[in-house]
Amino acid sequence: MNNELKFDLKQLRVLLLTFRYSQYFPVVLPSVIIIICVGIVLLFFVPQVNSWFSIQDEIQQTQERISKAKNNLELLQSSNTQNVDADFYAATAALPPQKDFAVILTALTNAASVAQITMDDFSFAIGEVSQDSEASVSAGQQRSVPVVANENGMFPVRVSITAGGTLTGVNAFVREIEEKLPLTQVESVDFTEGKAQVSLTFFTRPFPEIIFNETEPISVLSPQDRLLLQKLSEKL
Amino acid sequence: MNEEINLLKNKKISASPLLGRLFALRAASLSILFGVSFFSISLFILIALSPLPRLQDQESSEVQKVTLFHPKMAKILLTKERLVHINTVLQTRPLYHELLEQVTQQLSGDTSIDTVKLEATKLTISASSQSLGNVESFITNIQELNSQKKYFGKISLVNLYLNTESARYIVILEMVGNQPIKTQ
Repeated sequence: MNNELKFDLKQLRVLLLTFRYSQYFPVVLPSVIIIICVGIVLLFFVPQVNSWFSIQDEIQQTQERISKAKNNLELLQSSNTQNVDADFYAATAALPPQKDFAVILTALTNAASVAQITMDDFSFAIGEVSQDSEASVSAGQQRSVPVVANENGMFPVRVSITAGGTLTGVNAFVREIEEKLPLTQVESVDFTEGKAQVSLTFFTRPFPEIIFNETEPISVLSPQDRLLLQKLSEKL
Repeated sequence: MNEEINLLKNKKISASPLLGRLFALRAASLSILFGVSFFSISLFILIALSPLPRLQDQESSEVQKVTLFHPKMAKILLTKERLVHINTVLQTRPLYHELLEQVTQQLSGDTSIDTVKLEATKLTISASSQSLGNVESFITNIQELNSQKKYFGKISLVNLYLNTESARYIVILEMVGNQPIKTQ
């Protein structure tokens, strides 16, 4: 065993000496250095350069987000809280997020009062009163009307009223209901001999889920929006 | 024999190109080594001194400040969302009071409207008068109104008769549109 090991070591020494004093020895070291350098460039340097460019892109995007966040902060700080509240109130009064029967009845009675007609009877077709149940309220009539959103995402509340008065009064009632809040659409009018049956639709739309993105620019209200809000506020 | 001993002369001629190439190879390897080292160290320093961490801290600070205004932000976003749908309703809904007012303005003399039945695409009116001329005038006015405003596609005279009890001429007009009546 020892003799074999000694023999192997002796052969190794001969090999190394042969290589050391061969004509190729001066070429090997520089070649190895070049190969190692090429390997370092390919395996480490190129990915690091890509990483650096990615960092530069990320820096630019971060700077843009900072700028947008600062703009949003400035906008929110400069906007008058009372005006924001008033605009929000006007918009939700025009298009409530949920069915509010008190508001609907108030709108109907106010319109009838202004138009000087008598409101004899009314019925609602409201559909769901809660998420777990469907119900309808009617003066002496049970109806089950599934309430689904229409093509505009609105949830309609249909109301039928019977009123007494002249055609002029009925027309005044229709005008009052159409011009005041909440937003209403008259579906049909049936007037005969001092009695009128008016079908209306009140619109509601639940609030959407808000996903806050602080670095997304908050757009200010356009002049058209301002004008609309002003008109809505006048209708309150 | 002499040629084998005197090797110096031959070596001088044949060794120069090889030495030149060897020198070039060594120079290239050293250049590459120093070049790679220099650029690697430079790149490392550039990445280490990148302002990205500072900017990310600044971004989270700004975002934190904006989050304090979430309630106000929510109201602004919801107001804009409401206005979009309010606009849709205002642009699509008909205003029937305008139609009814304009129809009633076409009355002349003692003509009065007895019944009105207004639906999405149809308006049926029953009007009466003691004078047939007033009735005829009312029909003409309705036709002119429709030719101006284009509310309806077709106007039909459903009935025209004399109610002997009240001594009034009664006319029933039916106005039909191909689509929901648009008054705006």
